[in-house]
Amino acid sequence: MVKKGENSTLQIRTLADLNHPNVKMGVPSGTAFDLISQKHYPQAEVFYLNGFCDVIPALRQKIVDAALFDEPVARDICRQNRDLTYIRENVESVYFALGFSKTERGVKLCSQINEFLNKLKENGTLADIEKLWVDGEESQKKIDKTGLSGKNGTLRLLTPSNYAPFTYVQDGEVVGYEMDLLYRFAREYGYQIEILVMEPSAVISGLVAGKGDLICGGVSYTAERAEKILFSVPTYETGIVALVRASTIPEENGLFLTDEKSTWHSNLSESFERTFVRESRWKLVLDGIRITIFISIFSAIFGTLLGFGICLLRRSGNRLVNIIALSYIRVMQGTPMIVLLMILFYIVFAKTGLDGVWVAVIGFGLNFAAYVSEMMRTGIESVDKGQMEAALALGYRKPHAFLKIVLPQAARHFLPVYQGEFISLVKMTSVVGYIAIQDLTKASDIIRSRTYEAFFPLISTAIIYFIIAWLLTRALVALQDRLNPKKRRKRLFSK
Amino acid sequence: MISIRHLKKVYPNVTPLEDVNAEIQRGEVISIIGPSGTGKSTLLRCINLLEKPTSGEVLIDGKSITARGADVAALRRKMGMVFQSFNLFNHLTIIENIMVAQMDLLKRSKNEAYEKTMSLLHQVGLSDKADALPEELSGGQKQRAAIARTLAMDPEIILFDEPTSALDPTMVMEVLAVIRNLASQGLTMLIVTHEMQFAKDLSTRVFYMDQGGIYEDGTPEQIFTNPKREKTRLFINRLNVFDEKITSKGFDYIGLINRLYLFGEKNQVSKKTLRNINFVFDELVSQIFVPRLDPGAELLFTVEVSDKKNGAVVTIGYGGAEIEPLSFCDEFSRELISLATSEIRTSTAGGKNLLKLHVR
Repeated sequence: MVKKGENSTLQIRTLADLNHPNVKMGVPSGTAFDLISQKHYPQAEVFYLNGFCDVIPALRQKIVDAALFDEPVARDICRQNRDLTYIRENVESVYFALGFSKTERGVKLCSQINEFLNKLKENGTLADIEKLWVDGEESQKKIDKTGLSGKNGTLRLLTPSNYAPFTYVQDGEVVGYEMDLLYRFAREYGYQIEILVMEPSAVISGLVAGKGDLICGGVSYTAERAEKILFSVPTYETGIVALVRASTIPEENGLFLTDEKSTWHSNLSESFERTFVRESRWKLVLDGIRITIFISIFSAIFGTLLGFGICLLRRSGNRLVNIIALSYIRVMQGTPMIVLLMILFYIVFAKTGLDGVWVAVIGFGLNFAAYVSEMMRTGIESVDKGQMEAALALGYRKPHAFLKIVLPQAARHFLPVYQGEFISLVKMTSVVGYIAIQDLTKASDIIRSRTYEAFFPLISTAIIYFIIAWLLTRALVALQDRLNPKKRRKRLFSK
Repeated sequence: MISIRHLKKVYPNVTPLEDVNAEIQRGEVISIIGPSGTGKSTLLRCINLLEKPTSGEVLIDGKSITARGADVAALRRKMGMVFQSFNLFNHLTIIENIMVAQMDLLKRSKNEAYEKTMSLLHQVGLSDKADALPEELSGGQKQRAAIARTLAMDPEIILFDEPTSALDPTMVMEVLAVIRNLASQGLTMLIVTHEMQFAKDLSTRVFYMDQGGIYEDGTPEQIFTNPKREKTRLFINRLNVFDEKITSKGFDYIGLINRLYLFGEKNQVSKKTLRNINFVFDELVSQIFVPRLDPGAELLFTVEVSDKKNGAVVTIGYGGAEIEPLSFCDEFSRELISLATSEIRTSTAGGKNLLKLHVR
């Protein structure tokens, strides 16, 4: 029996060959490509992948055999990857447009944009801009971001950052064809632009939840989407094509663009250059590290304080209070972190405009507190009752005795477990990309979406996480040493 | 100094203190004795409010500690407490244990606290253990350090809650010596103890607790040699009696002998007498009576000692037909038994046969 993953003889000559049970079709989650795939190739098996940049390594590693892309994106990918190509036929025609919320403000903005885009179309500027971003030299692709007066307010823009050439990151800034259009629009109509970068799958739901005024980034028009949001006139008309491995297709049927060196057989120093140096990508990584550390530390502080409070409630002796505290712990322990984060971001704090980083701090803090309170409680309970009694008998008041006598001893019991939980917290922060925060993982995603390379950015990210966790752990170990009377005594004597 | 009025403490299942009343004057050293479970420790812990009394009142120098809004912490500072399980702060060294409350609560400078601590450690014989951790000390040393910690707060009253009960017998004396030394310094002390000899020698007054209160209150002389009330008398008499019931052939021999020796040690029975009692037990009880024990029957073994006379009276009680135990022994054992005892008598009372031996 031949396993599906080993069908090396698979030949895809035409689009029609895709409609076969042996074909595995890669689809980024949150896009409309899954519906299109099922419509045209009902026999192919659909694989949901996380984001556009994961589709390329999945194709290379033969996890999937084909993937649907918008033509200009596929063209950009083929230009940088000699081993990938697409079939020169359109699966379907499609057009991109900007999306607006169905509110009074949305309707007004949409009509202004339509007016602006129609004007550009008539005087031919739109075609020039399109040509620059779709086929131009990377060095020529620049956006003039100056001269935004903001006298008519600020446009809150939700966009993915990994969909070149429509919207992507260059030199640490979000650029792209649609970004260019929007900046021109904002300048002419007196707006300021505030960008919130999101996962592609979250952009539309973010708009519906009121996180922003408009969205861009290769948002294709579908009837289903039009029920929820308002579309502008087309910004770009194109087709959907199927990206495949070059080896599975006869040469004359595929498109081969090899104006850039293949990234397939690149060496380590080239990878390093592409991942960190080119377009100052190290800045992205550095910002990501800062965000990751910030969220880790602040949610640990918030979670520890809250956990301490909950631990006190648990020990209060009041049945009702205890049940409330325990329910909190059970609910938090039973809710996946990412779900909790999205609930906070898209529902609880949706309308407050609270910065996503603080939402993350709150979310991770709430979760961390549930674990901390339980470990503190067992730590405190492991301290003999006589310790408290002795302190009280000496004349300490209860809170003072607790802080001075009981807590340091309890801490010695729970700190090793706490340290482990803290490291999981640091690693868990890697999901904040879901609520539009550019942490370390997100930075590496963005870079991967530009380099179409998996190995180097992923391994470097893992190493950076390890170093962050290790450094933060050192601080906790130092605290443990302070609380260990034997080590403390040694230190006193060595002075 | 301390007035206890109608003190009552009720737990869900037991009521250790029904109605306790006492007036304690400055400088009194009071031993609190009595069977276990009669609320001796509870009384002590109610005085400094580690246990909250159900009702009643405790006054320290005329100030109520049980009243609503009382400054409990300030009143507790006047009273030190020494615990059965020492309760030294495990995360601090000995010197830190003694310094910390002085600095936190009495606002003494580090230097003052250090001077005070070192002089106290000297007093209890632990100056060389200042930098040790509690876990590195023996039980007796821990308790002495705990006493020093209490003294560092300059208390007017010290409550001792069974200070030697958790100690190996070899360490009891070193702790008692420290307490004895304190008694001569005019401190007011309340001591819950099972060390009767110590209570007798040291106290100015003894509380015998039973039936939910202070059952009898008097001088050591009165309580130990002339108890007025029945329960006290029974308790004091039983102090001098070792008694065990054997109900099966597989009884715990080692445990029984161990208890016998502990009893002997407590009552200052001479080594010779103890050896003789042990010998009598081995030869008669283990060899002769136990093998003949019927299922469901029981065998009584008691040892009584008295302060005044040397030796002890051993009584073996058994049911069924009366036997002549010595006739089952070989000649050599019989000879040895007659050397160990000065008198052997048999009697029958209430269906029980008693064999009474005066052991030398």
